[in-house]
Amino acid sequence: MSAPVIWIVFPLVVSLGQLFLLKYPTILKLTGIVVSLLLALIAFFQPIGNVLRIGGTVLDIRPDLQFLGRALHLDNGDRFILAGLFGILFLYTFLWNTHTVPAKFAPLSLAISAILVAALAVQPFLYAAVLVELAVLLMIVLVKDNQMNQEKGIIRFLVYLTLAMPFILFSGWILGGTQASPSEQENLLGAAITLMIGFSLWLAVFPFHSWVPQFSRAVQPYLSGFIFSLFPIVVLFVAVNYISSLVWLRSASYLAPVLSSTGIIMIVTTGLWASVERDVKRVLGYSVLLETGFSLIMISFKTEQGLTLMYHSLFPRVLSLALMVYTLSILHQAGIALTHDGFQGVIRQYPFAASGFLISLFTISGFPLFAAFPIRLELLYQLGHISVPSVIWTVFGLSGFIFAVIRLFRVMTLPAPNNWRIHESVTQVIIICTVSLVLILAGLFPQLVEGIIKPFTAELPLLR
Amino acid sequence: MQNWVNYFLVFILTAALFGLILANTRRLMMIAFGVVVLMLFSINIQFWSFGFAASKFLTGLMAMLILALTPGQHIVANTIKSGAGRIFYSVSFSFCILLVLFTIQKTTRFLAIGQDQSMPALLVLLCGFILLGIAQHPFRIIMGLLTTITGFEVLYSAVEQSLLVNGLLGAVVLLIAWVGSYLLMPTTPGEEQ
Repeated sequence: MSAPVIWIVFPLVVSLGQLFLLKYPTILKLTGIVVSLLLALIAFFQPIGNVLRIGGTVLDIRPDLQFLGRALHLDNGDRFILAGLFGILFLYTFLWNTHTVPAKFAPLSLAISAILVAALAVQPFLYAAVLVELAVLLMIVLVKDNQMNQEKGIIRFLVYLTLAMPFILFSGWILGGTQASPSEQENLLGAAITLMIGFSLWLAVFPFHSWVPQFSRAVQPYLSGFIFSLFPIVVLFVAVNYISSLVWLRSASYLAPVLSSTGIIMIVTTGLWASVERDVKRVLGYSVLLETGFSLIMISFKTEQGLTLMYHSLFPRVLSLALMVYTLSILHQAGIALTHDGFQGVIRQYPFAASGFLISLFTISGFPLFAAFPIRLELLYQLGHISVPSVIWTVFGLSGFIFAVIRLFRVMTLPAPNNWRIHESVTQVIIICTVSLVLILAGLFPQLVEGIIKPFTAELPLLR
Repeated sequence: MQNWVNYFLVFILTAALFGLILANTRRLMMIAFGVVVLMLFSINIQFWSFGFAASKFLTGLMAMLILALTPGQHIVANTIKSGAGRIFYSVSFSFCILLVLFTIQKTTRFLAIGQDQSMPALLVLLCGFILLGIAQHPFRIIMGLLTTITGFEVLYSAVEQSLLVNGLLGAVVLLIAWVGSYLLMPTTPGEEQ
């Protein structure tokens, strides 16, 4: 058995089977939890290329699968992203409220994850563009519901992400016919520009970012959170893999300044917009843009520390986003408008959900004692070695986001006529407390997380 | 161009693209898109195998059919109401035509394909971009997306002959039409009227 069969074909088959069980959300949730957890654990513990023993059965896990003359290749370097991707799927399936989120979430989320893994595994790379597009189209089916006026945000999402495909395919074609020789420099520059535009559209990099807040406003927070947790991370991995495989691109003198400038512009603009935003769902979108900006700066370092830092930053990023959308879903379900006006004094009625939401925002903005703090600090330290003005601009952008968080904190804790009362269920309280505790512990003891992640990141591509 | 008849086909294609940009109703847009796909097929068949060109043609027609069968508003709202709007749209596309005409030599050299294919493909691609850039109604945006991908497909299929990529691109076109149709579905029965 090959690794692509386990992490691509198997979840696709399960998702097809789940389509016949749409009337039974509890069964869908259970199968989703079991399959995603199983796949995450196999990726975590089982080296690819070794044999897997299940009782008396011995399975030889090979890295390749041939499909219509093309190869799907997953090796030990991909185990980190496989474990992470199916870990995210497990987290969201586990937190899935079957009463508020439609049953199609289970089969579609599994299919989207499998297709994104296929996009990571496919060789040659240019096929990834088409596979990502297929995943995007499934995401639209996932998020569309019967709410009015959601088309604008969803259509923007569709247009921007679809336009990325031609750019990536085109750059693949240019590179296919070009040799890395000085005489081909013009073609290589063309390929680099089209490639950067393609990835910028996928990652919602400035100036192609306008769909993110609109999309997060248009769809349920839980579904947008799932997509924002999964999609940018996979695209970042595809981008790093691709850049590291092209010697001329990773050694190009313009790569680092372009990436770091774009990242800083993203952080500054996001901070400014978030500071004046009154719609909480849009703040969710801005927090994703902020994280992407930081990731671009980390990649721009082109050092082992920079990339390792980016891989480490994924843990607080995913966990804080999951906590944010979970708490927002609780408040949304309770009929509270997800705006500044709706959030006035909400902490008195939903103390755990409101606190969880604030903790997630504190984590994203890199407050001391929270999980992202050591990462932000290290990033600023490394950035300071390269350019001090860049640090100042980054801190300025981050301050804008922190200002938005403080505004929300003030609004949520405003005095209200109601007395303190807990409206959350016991399960919700336990989940919020557990995730919040993990975020705080990861901030207090960063070596713990590093110790778990380090063995995996050692085999990931580095832009040396 | 290699064949004089292609001048005539490109002329009809350009007229159909003007129709696509200026149409106010879903039916007119469908007819215009159908003519675009037919003209592209007529040109492509001279350079590709019949099966390959026919598969692109059928994909385009099926995408059009999927969108045509979507229940909902048949008047494409928020579109051009004034004469000035029509003039603006026409002038924008005219500039695109000029851009294609002035850059066609260089583009053809870079892509290593004939003008017979590159010129119509670029015209369709730019028309799609105009629709994406200025349209506000979801139907027109989906049509813009389909037009852009259709134009890109001709260019890309001419340079990349891989059947798997082209098959997947065909599937993407159909899925975009299907997802577009899904998005355009009225959310409540009353909205259809």
